[in-house]
Amino acid sequence: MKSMFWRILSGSLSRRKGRIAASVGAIALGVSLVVASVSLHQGIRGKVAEELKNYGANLVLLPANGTAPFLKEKDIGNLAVQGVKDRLIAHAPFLYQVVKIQGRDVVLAGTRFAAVKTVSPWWQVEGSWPEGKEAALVGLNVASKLGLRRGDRISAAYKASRMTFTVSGFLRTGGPEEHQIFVDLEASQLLTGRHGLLSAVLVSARAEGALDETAAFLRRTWPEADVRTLWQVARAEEALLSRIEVFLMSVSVIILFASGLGVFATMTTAALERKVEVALMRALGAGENRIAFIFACEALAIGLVGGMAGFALGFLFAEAISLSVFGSFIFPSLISAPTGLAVGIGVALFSSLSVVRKVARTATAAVLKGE
Amino acid sequence: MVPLIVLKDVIRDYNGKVRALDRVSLEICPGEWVAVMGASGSGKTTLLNMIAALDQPSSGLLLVDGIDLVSLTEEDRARFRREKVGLIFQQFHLVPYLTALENVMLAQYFHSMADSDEAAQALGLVGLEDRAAHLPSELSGGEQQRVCIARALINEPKIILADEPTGNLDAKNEDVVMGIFQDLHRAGHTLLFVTHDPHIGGQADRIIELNHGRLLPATSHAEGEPPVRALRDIA
Repeated sequence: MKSMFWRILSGSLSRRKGRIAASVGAIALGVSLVVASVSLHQGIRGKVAEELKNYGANLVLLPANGTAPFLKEKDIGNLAVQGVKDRLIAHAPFLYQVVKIQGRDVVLAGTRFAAVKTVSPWWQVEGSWPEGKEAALVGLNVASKLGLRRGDRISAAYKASRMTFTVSGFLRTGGPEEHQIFVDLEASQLLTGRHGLLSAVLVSARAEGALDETAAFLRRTWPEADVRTLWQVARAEEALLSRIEVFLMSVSVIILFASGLGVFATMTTAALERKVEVALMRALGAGENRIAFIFACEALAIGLVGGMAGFALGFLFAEAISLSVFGSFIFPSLISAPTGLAVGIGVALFSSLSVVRKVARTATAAVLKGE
Repeated sequence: MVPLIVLKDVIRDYNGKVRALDRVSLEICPGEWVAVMGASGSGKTTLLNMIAALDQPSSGLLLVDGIDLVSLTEEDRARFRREKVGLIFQQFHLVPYLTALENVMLAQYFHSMADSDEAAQALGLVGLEDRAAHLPSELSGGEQQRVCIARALINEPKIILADEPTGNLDAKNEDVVMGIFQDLHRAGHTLLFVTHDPHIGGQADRIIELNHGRLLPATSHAEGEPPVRALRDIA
């Protein structure tokens, strides 16, 4: 047979559907905002950091003073070792050499274009990216000086060596790259006779956390390389991330407070409507703690259901926002679930119990008399 | 006979300004049916609340079944209410989401242990055995008040205290409810009513009248005078 406690609880929850739905709805809405803000707070940081890689490389590796004048291409495996790999987004090798083209000195840069596309996604190419060892991407400035058009063939000479390339496209960066010609790394190594050698490696490292730590780590794993930070980019990234962090944190706190207040107001109103019920229980001889327990269990059930619904709703909000802003989903924040449930249950319990305690301690007779 | 309720020089002041009861002294014996009458604001409900341990005297002596109510803590007063008194209100005060049976069981639950069979029997005593599964909103005013009476009786209290128990009832339901009270009186229950209706008050053994918190000389039906006529002077 059902105990009286369960009769009270189930009666209150099942026969007051309108009021219960309003309370659950208020909690679900409040919790959903908290969960969405916490999830976005956690997820957006990674997304923004990922977006920041569009600013280009923030570390450059050059041959260290006192060692060989070039880096060895085979040492590039140092960037794939455990502990370093996770800190890096992408890297691209470069071999620079001044060569003669149409009788003029031009910087020829050998690289791997697939890697360049990742490290410098902001490069604008008119025409197409080079494919194969005989194609060249020509900086706009060089193209203008040499009067080059797409499909033109250019002959590059270095000492006794000579190679011919076909112009596949022109490069616009707004920087020194517009004064250079880019070809396949192996082709440039072949032309200059520097097989397996590199002039530099541009690295795009994750901006969150200390970039200095990543640089120090790289120095240890690749001692022949002089690791330099491109401070202008790195500092901008870190400053931007810090500001976003503070902004998101502030928004989350405001939402937490506002949601809590909204739930508190709804639950308090719902509890106040039942002050006669509390007074009646007191008049029938119920102890304050026993009444509080009944109402606490009810608030717990409402908070739990509202909290879970709010978590699901908040998660959907966060994913929808992430999808519309970043075009991809964010990883669900593990802390958002307990935070949301704690807000839902905590505020429901606090508001309900504070009213019950207050009513239980006021003049029972006056409440029952309707005064 | 040892009185069940003893008040001696009971004073109740509110905020030091309003004196609701002014040196009230009274004794009520077991099995007695007493009606408290008087104009609005005369202190009737305050007196009832004192005896029900819903309020405390500012000074004076208040003993109920040998218990000094003045010295009790809030939780002791709650225990006193669940063990010693059965309360009936003018506005019924039934829990709206509990059935008639569950409303009766609620008083059992706070007293000791809820027993649906006993609660059903109590509803049977007030003629509501077939309405046990109905919610208060599905009952008439008279039926709701009978549920309140069943709830007041379920724990077999020493005293039944009622504040205007027929105030919200029509004449027909009033007769039904008063019939139940007469049965309870015959069965030996001690009843204390607050009423302003001379007809209701006239059915009691004794009438006490309050005026501005002061108790007027007692009126009784023991002189052989018809109770309603005797009450006309008061009402």
